[in-house]
Amino acid sequence: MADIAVDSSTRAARKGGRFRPSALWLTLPGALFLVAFLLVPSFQLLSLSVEDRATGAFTLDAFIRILNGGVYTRVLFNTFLIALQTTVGCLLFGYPLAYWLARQSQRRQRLTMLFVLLPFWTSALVKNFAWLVLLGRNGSVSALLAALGMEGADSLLFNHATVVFAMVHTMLPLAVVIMLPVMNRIDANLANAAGTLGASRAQAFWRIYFPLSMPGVAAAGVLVFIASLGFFITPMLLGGARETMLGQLIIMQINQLQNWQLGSAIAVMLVVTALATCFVYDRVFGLSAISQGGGGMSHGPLRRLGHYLAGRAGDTCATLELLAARLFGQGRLDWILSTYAWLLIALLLLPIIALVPMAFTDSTFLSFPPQQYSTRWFSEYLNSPLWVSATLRSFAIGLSTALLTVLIATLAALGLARTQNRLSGLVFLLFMAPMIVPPIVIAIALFYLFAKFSLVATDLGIVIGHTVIALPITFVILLATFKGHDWRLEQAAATLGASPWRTLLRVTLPLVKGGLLAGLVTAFLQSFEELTVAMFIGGGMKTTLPKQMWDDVLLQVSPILAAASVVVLLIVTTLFFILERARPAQR
Amino acid sequence: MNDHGSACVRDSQAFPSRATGDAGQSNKLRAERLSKRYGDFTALDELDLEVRNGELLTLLGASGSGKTTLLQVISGLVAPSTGRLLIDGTDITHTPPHRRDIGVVFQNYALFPHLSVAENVAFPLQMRKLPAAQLQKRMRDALEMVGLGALEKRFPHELSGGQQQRVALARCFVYRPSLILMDEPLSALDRKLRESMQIEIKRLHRESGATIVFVTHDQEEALALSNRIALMSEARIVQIGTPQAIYETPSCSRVAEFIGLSNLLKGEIVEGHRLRTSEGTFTMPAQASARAGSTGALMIRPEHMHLLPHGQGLVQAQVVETVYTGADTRVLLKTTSGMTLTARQAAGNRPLRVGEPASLAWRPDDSHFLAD
Ligand SMILES: Nc1ncnc2c1ncn2[C@@H]1O[C@H](COP(=O)(O)OP(=O)(O)O)[C@@H](O)[C@H]1O
Ligand SMILES: [Mg+2]
Repeated sequence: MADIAVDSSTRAARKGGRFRPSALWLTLPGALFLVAFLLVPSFQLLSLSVEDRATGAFTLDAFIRILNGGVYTRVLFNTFLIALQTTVGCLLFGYPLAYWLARQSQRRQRLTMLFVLLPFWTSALVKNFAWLVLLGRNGSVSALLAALGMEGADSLLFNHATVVFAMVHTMLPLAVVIMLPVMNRIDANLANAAGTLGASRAQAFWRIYFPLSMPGVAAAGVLVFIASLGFFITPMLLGGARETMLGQLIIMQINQLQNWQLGSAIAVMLVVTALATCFVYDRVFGLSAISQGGGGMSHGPLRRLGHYLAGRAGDTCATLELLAARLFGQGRLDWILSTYAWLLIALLLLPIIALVPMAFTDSTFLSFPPQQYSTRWFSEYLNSPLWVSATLRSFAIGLSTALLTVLIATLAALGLARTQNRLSGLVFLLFMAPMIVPPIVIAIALFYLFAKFSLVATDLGIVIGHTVIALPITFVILLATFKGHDWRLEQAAATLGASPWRTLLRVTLPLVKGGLLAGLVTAFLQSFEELTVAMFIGGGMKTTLPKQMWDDVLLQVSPILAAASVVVLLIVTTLFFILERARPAQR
Repeated sequence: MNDHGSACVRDSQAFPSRATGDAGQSNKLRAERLSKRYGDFTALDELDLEVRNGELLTLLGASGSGKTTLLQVISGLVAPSTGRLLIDGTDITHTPPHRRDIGVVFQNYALFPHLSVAENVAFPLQMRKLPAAQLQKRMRDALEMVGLGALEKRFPHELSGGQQQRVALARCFVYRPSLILMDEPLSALDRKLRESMQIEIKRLHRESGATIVFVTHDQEEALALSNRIALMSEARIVQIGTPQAIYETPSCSRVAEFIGLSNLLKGEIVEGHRLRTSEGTFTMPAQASARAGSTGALMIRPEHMHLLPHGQGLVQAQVVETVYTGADTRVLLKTTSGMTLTARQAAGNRPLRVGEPASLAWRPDDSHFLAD
């Protein structure tokens, strides 16, 4: 019925009866916004990267410099290596956790997911800062390892392995959050069916469950890889000179050397790599799998290869399973999985929880656990005009971002949910695009654009940047809300005599308010913890809380930073629980 | 509630005796005092069941009566809390599903969405490590058998509901399990398709010689398909027997109500082999044995209710509704005391109008007495 209603409205418009514009027009404000603040500045970067700084002539100089085998090439290679290792780590360690979560009952899964979502919503800055203290020369991990007699326990920081570890730790919740819905949609009956058809548990897993979970794994892989490419927080805090990544190079070229040509060229390479990754993903699974999950199925030789490998894995594991079952017993295997999951969750939560005692230290330097407890650093925080104004500004910017984002995303989601048009796919891709462009590229692109309109070092500039970054997730949440909404209810209300206005107030809004609230909170959190845009566009004057923390962490690691982190954690946790309440009960 | 259930069971004459010595030989499946508890809830209550070699037995019962649970226990997907399960006389209570060699057709088919029709059907053969050539041949034969030879390259989501059902059947029959369990396999299909699939299943059953346990909540389907019907209610089997036996001689009023539209007149037995009810006192069927003073109900099927002009029959009533079904007309009547009775009027008779007075009569031997 909903389809009939939508259909007839477009047909009426075409026949030239009473003009009723297609709902797709509702996506226009958002589309214009993204063209102005994502596409145009990105293409500007592209042209900057091939323009000679002095003469303005076309040149590939910058790209040649990056690829000529010198220090830039090493950083490029390093970045790909770290991003790849991070992706593999997230998938390898995250898959069993997601699998374990997917097998819980719905109620238990929701509860357990809280422990994964809390680190998901905690900013990378806070988590990595905590590792900096925990893994430091005098940190408790070093002490523990030294007590166990490990070599090199006092030099855990500033090496490749630590950077990859911290990046996996930072990105793993994202991987789980993306994989889980796909796994949840796998019909549990399929494994039962495989069992009655003669498949052992291992064979049922490898031949049925694993291939069906692949779209989620691939989507998680793509998004983790893209996010890792532009990452600079972890290598800057926990890595040494040899772990330098492209994101750091961009910051150096643009903020310190003002070399826009080279900075843009690096940005272009990041975007091209991200696009290439997406392209490969699309060829294998279809992009729809990101939004719908599971739908896409590949064909051809790749698919046959996949099935062959899954089959071999199944046969191998079936033998192992027999052995293991004989050694441990079947129940023990489940026990091993849940032990693993809880240990991983504990590790995810560790730096977040450890921050709290750190902030309550009485001493002038950070340690875990502290010798003496006091609240002096919280008073210091509250009495510092710098910290308080940064906190208030972050609040105001977060609120404005949330409102602007939800407004744009609601219109767009409404438009897309209610039309089936050839343009729909394109519009969807446009709204997803900020996810594919690394935040650091968005930040410098906007920096360049805003410089011309004197929007640099303004709150408005930061709000626009944050809105670009917050749009995709908010849009996806609202699109799911409106797609799940039964539009026949509006028709029913109309036939029952309600005016459109009263229908909106009494029927539509009460049903979608959970989604709207979730969108608001999500957008706020994205802005409240955002560092990159604030770093470039905020300038020195308009300091947000993450920017203030970043400056402080680079200058000197003081306990006031831990106090600020705890304040951020408190706010994030509160909002996170609001978000959980707003989420509709069904999966 | 379970007391009521056991009353039903005790009265059942159709239950096969467990003492018959060599009867074990012809049993495909035997469940002994099978129970399944979920916390405080009892989904199966000390259930006994014997399924004979080569028969098609339906488990018929309302939703929630434990049919799916029983199938899951038989297939090994759920472990019973207590009791034993034997196939061909071998105890398989603790054998995992993939070594039971049982075929299961699931309610929503459970086709593997990432595998083509051919790959779905070949799956059980791969699990049994059949050589490639033999595998291909068996797979093709199975698809031909269900009339889907041309669609083997398609994926499940490219098939209609009926075609998916056929794939599920082919995937089950292809490895020739000697025992096949089907859980409401036709419930998602529309009526016409359901009837043609029923004929298909009867044919597959005959041609394969497999023993089939078929679950349904649709009594017409059960009557149409089965060699025998086991009626389930509240975690127990309350009656088991041929469709005729279940339909014509239900063991208690609950079975009678479930198996079809029945008129039940409850009352007490009085002198002269008669039953006194709120509608009058009626002669009991000759073969019913009951002592005066005991209570029970007289069951009269709608097709045995004769419609007579007002004043002539045993019960006076007024027509409240007529439902034309093509072959006949169902007539609902309200008696003077307010009870609703149903009769069937064969085609060709003068149609009755709503509000018209009429009366009902039946031959005592067409009625069936159900003791409480
Ligand atoms: N895993 C389970 N946990 C708790 N109760 C269950 C479970 N499975 C089934 N039940 C309960 O057992 C009863 C019988 O269920 P089922 O066998 O599915 O009935 P049927 O198939 O006859 O509709 C139902 O009341 C159901 O709620
Ligand atoms: Mg059922």
